[in-house]
Amino acid sequence: MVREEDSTTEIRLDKDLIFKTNIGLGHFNEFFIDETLDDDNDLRGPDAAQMLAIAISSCLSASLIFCLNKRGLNPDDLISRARISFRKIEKGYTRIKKIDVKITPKTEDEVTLKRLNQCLREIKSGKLLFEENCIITESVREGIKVNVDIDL
Amino acid sequence: MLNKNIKRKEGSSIMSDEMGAKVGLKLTEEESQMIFKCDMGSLKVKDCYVDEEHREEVDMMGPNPSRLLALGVLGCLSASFIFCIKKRGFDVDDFDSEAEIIIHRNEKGFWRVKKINVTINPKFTDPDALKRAQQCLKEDKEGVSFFEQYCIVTQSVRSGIDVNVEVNL
Repeated sequence: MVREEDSTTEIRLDKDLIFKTNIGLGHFNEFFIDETLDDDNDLRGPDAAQMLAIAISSCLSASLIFCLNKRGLNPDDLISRARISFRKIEKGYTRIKKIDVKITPKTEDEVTLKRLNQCLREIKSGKLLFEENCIITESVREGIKVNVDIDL
Repeated sequence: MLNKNIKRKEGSSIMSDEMGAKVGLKLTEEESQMIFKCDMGSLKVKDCYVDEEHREEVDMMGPNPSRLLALGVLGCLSASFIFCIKKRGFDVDDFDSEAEIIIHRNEKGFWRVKKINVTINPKFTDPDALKRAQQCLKEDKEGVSFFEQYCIVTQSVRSGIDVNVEVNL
């Protein structure tokens, strides 16, 4: 019951660990889930797949910032995009195939950049150091492939 | 939701947001019956924010990722259930639903979502609509209700997270 089209959600760091989404900007003062499959202009809120994509991209973004915060550092800005794609299973039902997350942190500070690189170091599990702190992504990963791309 | 938020809450005897959150949905009066209003408790939701900073509902500017995940699953299952009813030309008279998200520590000590308990509460006065609702709850060979197969998000995450569904007719 979501639009079976590849779609991209975007969040931007507002302050601290608060992110603003691009979904429904200016459209809703209250929080709605809209499964009508209408055109974007008519929608009153995100659909379920977009909610999942926002949950995953915000969780990963917060985990990356948390990794910086541990050394008393902060990014100057951060944007995170999640691309969700679908596939049909044998029985004809649609399922989420994968979610590609691209996080773009901005910093002018060399110390912060160095720490960012540390946060991106792979640990024994094959995951990036900061990813293990993200509850949602690691929880759904066994069911949905989540690719993470860090654009420094 | 971050592990750091969990750690900050340890030792508290109160059932904290991070240990078990609840989100709710209520059907709006739109004719399509496919738009749901989210019950985010006391959250300060105006624009769409994801808030990983605050711990108390009254301070939160938006849901955290675990609530978003629960709402995604809940919204999808709610729409799928109503879609199944509407396929035979019936409507629900009223509708609300609720999801409870449960987390636990994995063997390495990291917090993970263990399961999501979904409760769907439709109201029917038409006995034929109620009969159709019962058909929608029939399980297939995999033990999944007919209507649940329509739900892309839930079936997609189910391999990783247990999603329990309860329908009160």
